[in-house]
This record gives sequence, structure tokens and C-alpha cells, in this order.
Amino acid sequence: MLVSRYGAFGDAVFISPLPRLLKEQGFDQVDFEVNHKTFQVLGNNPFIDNLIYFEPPPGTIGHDLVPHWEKISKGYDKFINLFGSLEVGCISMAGDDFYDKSDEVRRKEFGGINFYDQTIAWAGYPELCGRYRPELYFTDEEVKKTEAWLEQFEGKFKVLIGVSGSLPHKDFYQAEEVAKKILDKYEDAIVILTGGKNDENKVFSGDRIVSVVGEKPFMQAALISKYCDAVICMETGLGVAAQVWGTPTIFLLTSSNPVNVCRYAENSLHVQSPANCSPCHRGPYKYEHCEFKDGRPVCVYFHVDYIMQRVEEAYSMRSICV
Amino acid sequence: MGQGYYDDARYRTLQMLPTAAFGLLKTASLAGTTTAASTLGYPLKMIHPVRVVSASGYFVVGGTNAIVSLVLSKSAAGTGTASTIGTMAVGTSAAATHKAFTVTETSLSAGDTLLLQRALGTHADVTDVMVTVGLRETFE
Repeated sequence: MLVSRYGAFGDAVFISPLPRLLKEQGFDQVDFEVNHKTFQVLGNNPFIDNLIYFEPPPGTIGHDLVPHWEKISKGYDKFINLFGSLEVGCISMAGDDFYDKSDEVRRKEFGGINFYDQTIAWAGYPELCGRYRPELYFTDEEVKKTEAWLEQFEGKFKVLIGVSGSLPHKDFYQAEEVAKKILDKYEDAIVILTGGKNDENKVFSGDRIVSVVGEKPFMQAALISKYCDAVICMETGLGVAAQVWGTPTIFLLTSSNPVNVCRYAENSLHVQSPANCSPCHRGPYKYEHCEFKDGRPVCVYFHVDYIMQRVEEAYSMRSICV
Repeated sequence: MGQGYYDDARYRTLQMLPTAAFGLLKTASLAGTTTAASTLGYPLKMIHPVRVVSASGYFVVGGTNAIVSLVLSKSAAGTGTASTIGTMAVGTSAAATHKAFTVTETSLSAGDTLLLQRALGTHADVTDVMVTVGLRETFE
């Protein structure tokens, strides 16, 4: 059995139920061929026999890879190709039949599809949708290192905020405003900022704000989210990973809806963008249909007071657990 | 069919990608005679700590090189010496096929360099290969 998928971090988490599922379907050998990001997410999965690294050249589209897939799948009993499994089935992309249609049409087409279900059905097991959960694995050393770093925040109300995303509608422009409200309201709060090296201009400072932006890799941020009392982020892989643990996740949804990404999440505190166009179910690389405010898509502006209500819910959950 | 797939410039990924391939689409020609170990492609300097866990060659052009091996090496920062962490005998390889290196999992610190080298040998056939390296990002 060979599975191929090249995707971003969130996409990789969405396929993480498959290795166990396939083993339980009786496949003695389960190999995955993945790109760099998925290589990180599935790296320690014990249900994968061979994790093969392959990075498609930038700009590659499906038909370019057909000869490659024909070659690599030789000798396997079954080949599951997840290329475009979410992009085709769950999101409207430029050039497809739905991209230029109304929001209502796309909501009807894509609004009822969960990304985990889509992945499992695409793999050929629709009857198993809902029966497998995402799984992330770490080495003992990775866990020890992360736990040791978190010791400094023992007993604090730990809020992990993702400041950025891969596209403009995934950047959390209101992060600083939300963080300062949290710190003003909760004396025991500590805010941890995460993001990439290119996001250092989005970092803000202050008492009880700790930034690991550009310092820690995605998978370490994913593990940190396990130990936090709340995670706040836009529609990014960090939120998908935080939901794996059942961490109260204030997922700020723009293009997707809760059915798409939160159906199976425990302690989901998602918030849908108040913009009329949200959810649009588009992969809006060029934003040609989007309304802008101050140079940003309008869907990125949330009601901060409502986010704070969700933070209070997360704080209450923590109080019950402590 | 969508026009591509989401890319994600966050975390270290954007910085890591160039280190994962010795010149994506740039092939290392194996034609000729090697009288001394030579570096192919370009040295890849790590800007974050990583662990090399796998490597493979993709043969753009097939051929037979019974003698030649490709060697993946680590050069620790400031030492100027290379130590082998993986090898792959070219042998007979059809075009558009992969062949895996035998790799000893090895950690590299920021500043260390990955090298792709051609071991000594004489070979006439043209064999172009693109080598990619599977890296796990080390927690900090």
C-alpha cells in the first residue's frame, strides 16, 4: 500500500488518521510518499513502514506528476493518491465550476463536507468516516525538550496565538489587540506567540508575552498547543493540530465553516468571520472576488469582544480542570 | 483540478526547502571519470538544526554506472572535513525512477553543511540524477 500526498501542515494533519486505518484494514506494509511539511507531521507515525520524501517542483500541477506516480506505485497492491483531495472536493479553486458562482451555491456544495471525512472517503473507505481520529506522534526527546521549556509557565493560563498564515486571509491581524485584552483581564495569563521567521514584523512585545516566532518548528508549536489552555489562530495548520489534543481552540474561520474543520474536535470554540462573504469555501489565491478594508480581505476582521467571550469559556474549562 | 496546493511560508519551512534538495531540477551529471572525490551541486548550509533521515536519487536520465556511488556527507561547521552519512550505488537505473540512499540518521547543527559527492570511479554512460534529502526539523 502506497499513499501519496503533498500538502501544507493542516492538510497533513487531516490525513493523519489514515496510517492506522490502513493497517487495521489488513495492509502489512503501509508506505507514504510526502512533501517536506507532511514529512514533519507524519515523521514518527508508528503505522507507517516507509516514509518517502518527495518535493514536487514549485508550480507543479497534477498532470505533470502522472509519470512519477506511475513509476512509484509499481509493485504496490494499492495506490492512494491524495493529490488535490481537499483542494478539489472541499474547496473551490480558481478555474473550477464553482469559483465564480455565488457564496450560496458554494455553501450548498461544500458546506457539508468535513475535511477528515473527505480524506477517508477519497482513500476509498467512506463507511469508516467518523471512526478514526487524527494522530500526532513525537519522540521522547521532543516531548522532554518541549515540556522542559514549558515548565517556566507552570500554573499560568497559557494562551498560544498563531500570528500568521500562509495567505493574507490567514494572518491574525487582531492578535495584538486580543492578546492585550487577555493580559488585562487575566492576571495569571501568559501569551505565547508562534509563527515563522518571515513573520517577525508581526511580533509584539509586552509583559507576559513570549514569542517563539521564527524559533520553533511547526511540529513543536503543535506539541506546545497540547499543553496550553487555549489556542487562538486563523484557519491554519496550528488550529488543526491543536484540535488533535482537545485543547480549547478558538479557530477563527474565514473561508471554511465549522463542519469543514471542527466537526470532530472536542472543546472547539470556533468563531465564524462576521463578514457576509464568510464562509466562501474558496482557495482565494488572488482574492479577485474579495472585498477589502485597509488593504486586507474583510473576512479577517472579527468581533474582538466575541473572541474574548470564547477566551472566557476556555478559562472556565481550565478552572474546572484545575 | 485545482491549480496547485497550499503552500505555507510560516515557521521554518520556507528556509528549510532549499536545504532539502541539491538543486531541484538541476541535475548532477555523472558522466566522465572521477579521479578524486568531487562535490556535486552545491553545499547546503543548515540555518536550523535538523536530522537527516533519508535521501533518494531521481534519475532524470537512465544509465549504467557499475562503479560509481553517490555519497552524502556532513561537514561540521568550521572543520572543513566531511564524514559520510549516506551512500547510493548508481548501478543500472532506468529514467524517471528513484533509488534510495542507505542513510545513517545524523543530526546537523545550524552552520553545518551537507555535501553531495561522487566517489572515485570511471564511467562512460550519462546518468543525470536529482538528489533530495529527507530532513526532520529538530526541536529547540
